[in-house]
Amino acid sequence: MLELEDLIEIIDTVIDSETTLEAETVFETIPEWDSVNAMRLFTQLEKEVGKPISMKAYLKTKTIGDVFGLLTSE
Amino acid sequence: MEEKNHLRQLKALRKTIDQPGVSQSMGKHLASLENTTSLAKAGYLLRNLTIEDWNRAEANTFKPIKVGIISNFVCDEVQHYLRSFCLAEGICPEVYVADYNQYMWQLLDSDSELYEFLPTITLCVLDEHIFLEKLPVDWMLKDFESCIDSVFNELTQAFDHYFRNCSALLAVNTIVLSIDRYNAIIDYRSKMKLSRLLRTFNARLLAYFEEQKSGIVIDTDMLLQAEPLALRDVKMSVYAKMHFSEPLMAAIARETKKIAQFLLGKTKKCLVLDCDNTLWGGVVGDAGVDGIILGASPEGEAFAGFQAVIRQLSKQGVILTLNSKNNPENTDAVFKTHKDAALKLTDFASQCVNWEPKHLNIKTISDHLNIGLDHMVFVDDSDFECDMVNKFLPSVTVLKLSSTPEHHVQRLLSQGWFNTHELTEEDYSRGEKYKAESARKQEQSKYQSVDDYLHSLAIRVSLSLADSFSIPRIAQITQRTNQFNLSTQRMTEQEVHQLSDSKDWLVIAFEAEDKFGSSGIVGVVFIEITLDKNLDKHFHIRNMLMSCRVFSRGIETAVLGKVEEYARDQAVSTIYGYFSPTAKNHKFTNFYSKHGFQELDENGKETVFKLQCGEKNQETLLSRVPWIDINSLTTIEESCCA
Repeated sequence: MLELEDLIEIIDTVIDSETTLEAETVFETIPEWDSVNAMRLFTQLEKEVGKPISMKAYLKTKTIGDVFGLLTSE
Repeated sequence: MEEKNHLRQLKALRKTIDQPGVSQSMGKHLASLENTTSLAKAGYLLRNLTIEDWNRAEANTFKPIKVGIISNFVCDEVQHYLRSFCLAEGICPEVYVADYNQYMWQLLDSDSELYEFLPTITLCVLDEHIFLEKLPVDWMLKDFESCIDSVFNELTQAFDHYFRNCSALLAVNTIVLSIDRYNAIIDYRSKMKLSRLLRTFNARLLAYFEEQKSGIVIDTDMLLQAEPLALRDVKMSVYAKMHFSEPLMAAIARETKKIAQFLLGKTKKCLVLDCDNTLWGGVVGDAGVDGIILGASPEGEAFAGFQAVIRQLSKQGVILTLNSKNNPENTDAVFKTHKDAALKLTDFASQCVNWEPKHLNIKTISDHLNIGLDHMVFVDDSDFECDMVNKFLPSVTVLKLSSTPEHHVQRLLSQGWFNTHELTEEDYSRGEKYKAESARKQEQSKYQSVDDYLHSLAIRVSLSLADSFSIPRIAQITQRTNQFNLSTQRMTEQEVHQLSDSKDWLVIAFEAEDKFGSSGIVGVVFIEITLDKNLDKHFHIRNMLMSCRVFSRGIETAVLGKVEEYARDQAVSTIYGYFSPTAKNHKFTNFYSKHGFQELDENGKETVFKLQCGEKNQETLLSRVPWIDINSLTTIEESCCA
């Protein structure tokens, strides 16, 4: 089962930001965040959880916590 | 170690990259990564490190290369894979990625960012949208048929412009149609025609590139054979305009790395092969020639197939050698008498079949054939032997085979270690030449003095201006030669062509032969001719190169002597020589001063030497090597003007 801290480590590796990341972090506030990184994160998350994620729902998320909620729902 | 841990290590190590050994150990972590996601992450983590960072602790460990990437879709990820693959091989790529769907503009505008970037390699990645964007949404076969010519013409016109503007190598991929497009056409007659039209398009693209001196086509269909590899990920295609799947982009990056390898002179030249359980199954010393597994059974066929592929490599110029713990009579017997042995005794340029440690044998082979350790691939099935070689000779590439011979061929070939742009006549006969070299070494032991030996060889050297026959080989020499390469400028055939066509340059190739046979074209001198304000003529030897096969015979002295003689005939007042140090050419730091040149200037990157002509230096140069018979440059000049 994916824990929040695992998710934060994945995001940290993918985005490689100096910013400290936590559940409340809003993606838009991370300096390195852009559409390309959003897509890079998406594919890597799909591989990590081993099942398809809805792109539509992913694009609606604002914070790391939202993404965690999306990955752990169902 | 898990891939995650390699990534953690890389992230930590990048902060201390200026410490000794750190950049190499980062290279090792990168080389251990296998899955696509990790490769992308690693390449991204290292995106801000420059060639200076990588070489901060140890100079010249990493070689720089500039790669421009243009595409009709979003393929920014290619750069991260490329960085991971290249850094694992000691290559540091600087990458420019053009904006989305800017490839046409980048090719056609002579002032584009691509051209300003001055790439060494341009990678143009294209997918089916080059057709689809010209088609109505409800296209039928006849629409596809009528657009295909205009797409081809536009594309090749843009490439024409590129080749006129830029001498950097251009790599483009063949176009693949996705299965949804194919399935949308429901009758098989039309499907067949669609397949044919697409393949005709690709065939024309390939034919066009065959005519280009510095173009390469990557066959996308071949890359799609790897498992598991899909053409695209529909979700990414729809939401991100990323029309190729990540594994396919990684595969394209891997091909680009192979291209970078040969452009930087990192092509492997020599295979060092174990015998038992590598070239056949079982131990010949125990089982005897008839008892080994080779041919005649499925497993034996796999070993025979591996030998056949090695022989194919050998025919293309890869030097084969043996390094086996065996009694030589046993291994000899296999190559001489086993009916399923594709490899014969005469295929090996050097053999170390003995009970010495294998790393010492590799050292012996390297000295014997004068091939650098970093151009050798050692192939063995034993963990112990592979670890020893890794430990004692870290610059040798080690291929540790598994116990499943059916995978040997793929393991040997997938990295493209031996790839090159174009083979020359020289390559096809290289094996013979190295064998002759072995014979020379044996001959040498018969003579008391080196001079007697050299006289006995009856060496003849002939100089000639570069022409269409010699240019491919000249370009190859600039790419392969590392030791006697005084300024290490790698060149493509097209670049050599440009210089040889210019009246301001002399590109002189030299061939060598002796009683053991011809060595073919073994070296080249690049001379730039300038006039100063007093109309005095000067020669600048911008680079001089010679294959290591013909070292220690004074050939370089004879060639320089003839250049000097020619300069005096042409009323040249001064000859300048240039030397730029690299990790490999330090042996020749004093080449010019040993030949009577005076050192003028040294700025860390380049040392300039000068020789005043008319100082009658040439007699002494040629008289230093009385055993060499060499033709004059004047005669070739006349014959070429006639």
